[in-house]
Amino acid sequence: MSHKKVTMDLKEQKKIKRYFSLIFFLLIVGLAMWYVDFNFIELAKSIPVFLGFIFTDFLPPNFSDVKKYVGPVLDTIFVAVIATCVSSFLAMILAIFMASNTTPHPVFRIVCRGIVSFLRSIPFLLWAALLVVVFGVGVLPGLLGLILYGTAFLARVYAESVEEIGSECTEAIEAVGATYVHQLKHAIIPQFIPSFFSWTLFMFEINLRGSAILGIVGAGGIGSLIKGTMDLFQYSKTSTVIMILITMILVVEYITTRIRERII
Amino acid sequence: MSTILKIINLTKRYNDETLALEGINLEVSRGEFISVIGPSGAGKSTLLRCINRLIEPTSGEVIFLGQHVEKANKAELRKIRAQIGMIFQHYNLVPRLSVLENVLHGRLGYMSSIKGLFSLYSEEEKEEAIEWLRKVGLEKEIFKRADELSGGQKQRVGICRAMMQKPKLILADEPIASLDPKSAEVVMETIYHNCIELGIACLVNLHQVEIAKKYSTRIIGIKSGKLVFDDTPDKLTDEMSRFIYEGKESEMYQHQ
Amino acid sequence: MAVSQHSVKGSRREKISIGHKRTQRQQRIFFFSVLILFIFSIVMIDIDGSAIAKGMERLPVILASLTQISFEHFLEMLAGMVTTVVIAFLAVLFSFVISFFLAFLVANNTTPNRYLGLGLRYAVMIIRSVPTPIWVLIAVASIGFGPMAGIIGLMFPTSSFLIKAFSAQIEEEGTEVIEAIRSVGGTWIHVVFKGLLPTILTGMIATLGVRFEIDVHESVVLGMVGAGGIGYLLQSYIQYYDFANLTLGILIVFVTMFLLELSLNRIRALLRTQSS
Repeated sequence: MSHKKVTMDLKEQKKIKRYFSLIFFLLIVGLAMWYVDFNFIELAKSIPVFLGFIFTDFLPPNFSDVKKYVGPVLDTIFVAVIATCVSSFLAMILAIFMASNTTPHPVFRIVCRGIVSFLRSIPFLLWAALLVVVFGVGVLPGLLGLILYGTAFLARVYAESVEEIGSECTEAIEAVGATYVHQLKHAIIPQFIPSFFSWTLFMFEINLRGSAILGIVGAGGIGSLIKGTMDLFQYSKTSTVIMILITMILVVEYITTRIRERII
Repeated sequence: MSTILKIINLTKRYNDETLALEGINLEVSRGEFISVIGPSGAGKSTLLRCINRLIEPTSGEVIFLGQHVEKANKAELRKIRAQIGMIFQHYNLVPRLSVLENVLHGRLGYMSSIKGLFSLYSEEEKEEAIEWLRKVGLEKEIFKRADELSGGQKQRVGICRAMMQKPKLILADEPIASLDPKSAEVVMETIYHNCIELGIACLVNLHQVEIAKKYSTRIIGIKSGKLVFDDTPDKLTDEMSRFIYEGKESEMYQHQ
Repeated sequence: MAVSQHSVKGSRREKISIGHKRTQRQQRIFFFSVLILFIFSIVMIDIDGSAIAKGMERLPVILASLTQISFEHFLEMLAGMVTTVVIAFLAVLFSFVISFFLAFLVANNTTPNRYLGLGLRYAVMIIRSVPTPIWVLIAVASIGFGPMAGIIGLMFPTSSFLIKAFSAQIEEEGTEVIEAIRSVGGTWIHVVFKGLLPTILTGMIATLGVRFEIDVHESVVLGMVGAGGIGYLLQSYIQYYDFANLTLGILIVFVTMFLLELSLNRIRALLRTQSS
């Protein structure tokens, strides 16, 4: 009997707990809405305005300036390629310092983790905006912004992949009297390659999107076309640029997916 | 017979509490094939790993060819490890590399960081590796990737890797525990015959008493981190084996 | 050894390649094509050398001014950060409501109509490929500056992300449960709420956590294009070279993201222990 009673109480407790968390959650939602003066009527009004805007002002697209877009579109791709290559190289080094099974010294690990988590928490567009102040308007600040963020992002995911490599491989290499460098070359790197490919391709996809919006803060590429045409209310031209962007991203995604499938 | 390995009063404590090994004394001579038996968790694996310091011993001495392993610095430890082959329960091959590359890893202990970094193995070494693979019956698998092999094949690659080191001593940690009986026999035969033929001293962790009796020149029994038996196979009575495996008797025969 | 029979010393003989051919070839092709692409991009891209030189001269000055910190606008920035987080929170919340139902329409095993599912899937794909700030630019252009533009701008990419993730989670469940419920006469609603929801709910909550983190990140950016919150302040500090305040702003963003990650990790750990 007493046993049954205890379980009943536990159930009851769980129920009350659930109620409380629900109330707590609703309270947060209410508070959040109050904080930004949110109301549903406005939302209900805004969404049709937003969609109407897209369908009336953006369509039909105006293709008259397409030739002018070629340069910035290529720039966008080039920036993404360079940023991905440079950050994957830097991230690789950081990752080896950061991963618990490859770090030369625990101090390296902590210092690198700190730097990486700082760089990663700041959006790349903010880095880019700040670098525009340093290097002036152009592709360079955008490129550096993407590299800063991308290096931090990749360093973290690379390090996680390296840590997932089992100790079996490294143990055997260690047992034959190999050096630290040998262990990296012969056990860690071969096992890390598939995730390296996969994450680097993923980073390229992110960088392509990133590179496409850098122009918003004055860092060149497709983004400056979007910002420029919108500032002049030439929305039908904006939609052409966005369509080019969509096509570019979908094509790249298709290619990277195919490459990923073929990696063994 | 010349002494290869001498262990004096070896003790290993984990986290300053759990005693994994307690005062082990052992002497291994050239040409000996020693089985280390005992139930799982007795400390067999720890003992083997303390010899080449994959696990740092807490106290005691390990003397390999007259050199104190526990006092060796990094460079000295490398040289010692290069002369001690190791075979693992889970084969510990690098799955995405070719069989040949995995065998050649046995030479890394004799190479500088730079040479090893660029895989500059000599042609003689490569041919020797191929020769070893032929010898264990893997000539068709030489250029396959390690993850394409079966368990028994992987373990034979592991044996070749150890043999490439030209070792004075081989440590085999449960080499057949993950294998089916047939592959297990092939693997044990391969280890045994090559060690005897080349006069390599060998320490094999096993939990099956029958197999230990079949192959060993000497058997060591370990129970809760203590050495409780050390004699020739014919001296290992049934009572003794039951004592060693007390509480875990089923492991004596069981093939995991 | 027997080896020496066919290896005559001193004479030139073919080197033995030791790697696994297919793996090696794949890796070489990958790295070689990336290298070509990289060099081509470097050559093609227009980077002004003098801009780098000038920038390098300016860099120490700017870095030095970033070591200053001013707490003058601390409360204002804190309020901005809260706005930023709230925008992300509400966007994720509303997107969850939308995508929860749409995901069941998209998933292969639960869609009531194959063509409807396929159509939605393509729509999601296209919405997802447009970067978030562009959605917000459009929202700002159509309904004006402010948090509402941020929320609506975030809702599109967030919903498409969630629909894709949720539908994949639903598809992982397979068809067994669904058929079992259907066979006893259950309706579509039964299938969704009684059959699938209990098993996939934890996965969904984990996905929401991931997306919330992304959206706070995006929301900071969105402020920079006119959706309110701390991003707007940061952008104006950069514009007016107000580095002392900018430093504090960056620190606030960092601390917020750090705390967010910490608490989300804790929730994730909690979910894992509950589900196991």
